[in-house]
Amino acid sequence: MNYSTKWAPLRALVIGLMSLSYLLTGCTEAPATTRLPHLGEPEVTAPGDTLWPTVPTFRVLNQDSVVVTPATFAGKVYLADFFFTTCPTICPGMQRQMLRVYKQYAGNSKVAFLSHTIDPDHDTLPVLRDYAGRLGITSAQQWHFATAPRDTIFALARQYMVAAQLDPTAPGGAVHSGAFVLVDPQHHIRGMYDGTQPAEVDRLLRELPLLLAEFNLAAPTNHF
Amino acid sequence: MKQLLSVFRRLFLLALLAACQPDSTTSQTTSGSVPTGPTRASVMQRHDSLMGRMDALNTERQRLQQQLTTLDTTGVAGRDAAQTLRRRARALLQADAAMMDWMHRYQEPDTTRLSAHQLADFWADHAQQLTQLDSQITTALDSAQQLR
Repeated sequence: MNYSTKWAPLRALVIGLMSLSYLLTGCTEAPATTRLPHLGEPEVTAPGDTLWPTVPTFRVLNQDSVVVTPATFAGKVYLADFFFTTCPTICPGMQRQMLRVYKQYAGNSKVAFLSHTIDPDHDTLPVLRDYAGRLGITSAQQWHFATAPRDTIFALARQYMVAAQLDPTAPGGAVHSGAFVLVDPQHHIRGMYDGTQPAEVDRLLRELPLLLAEFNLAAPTNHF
Repeated sequence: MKQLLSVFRRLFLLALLAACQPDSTTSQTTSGSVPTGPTRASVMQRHDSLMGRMDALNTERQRLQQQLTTLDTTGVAGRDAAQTLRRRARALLQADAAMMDWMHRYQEPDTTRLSAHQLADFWADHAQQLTQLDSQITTALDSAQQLR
């Protein structure tokens, strides 16, 4: 019996066990305890003490004329994006995708939405209210359509990109990138998604529950 | 009989001539005369590419305005430099405003009411407007960047 023939049954057994193991694990979904990564460059102050970048502080006004700051999202996760009401290209598609996510979490006080207009001169509060109404959003309690001076909004968009270590000078820029930014209750960026691509929003819909679970916010829907 | 044949021949020739005339009342075009040129997709692609430069218009303007605050304008050279900075910052602002103005004015065409040629003209007109905007944005940005 040569070497090859001698070990053939053992090889078959090992390959069989590996295949069985692959099949079993392949059929199992990722455990619910999987954590989303933190985006951006961490600042390590001491071993085991990593400081992740946080979103910039801000003060904007929503469609109900209520001031919105990071404190508005205390104890919540939120999704941010940048748009303008007269945008003929990516924005309508983006808001349709954002609406998909909203519909899944409508009435859940632990999930909020923040859409910033990049055209505050045109998108006044009445225009934003009308725009929200046409999307079926009758209250700003969960989905804020926000405005601020143009320079503030542009700086905010750049800071979100920079915090996530993305290049704000890349094609599309920061204000017209179509990105959805997922922010956790500690103001860390935990996901960036191309809001113009339904497949990317599918990924967001898979990942959002993981973030809620991480912060024990995955309890049944809490109405406002 | 000869007269009848002559009338038929004339009618046939008239029908043939009429068939060769371009029909200006309908939107139907033969495959050989389908208008080519800018389409909605190409115009919107151009729009998105210009929108990608809005950040640069904004950051450059803020940079020039910041430069203005630290400029010593006690001498003639300083005052000239301040004037140049103001002029180039204003050009950035105008380019930004022109882009936003295009978007505020833009209305989707009613494709059910326009003929193929009218639609082609519509997209060609917008493509031309965006070419002018592209040129205005490029000039404003290049002029600002010369002051680095």
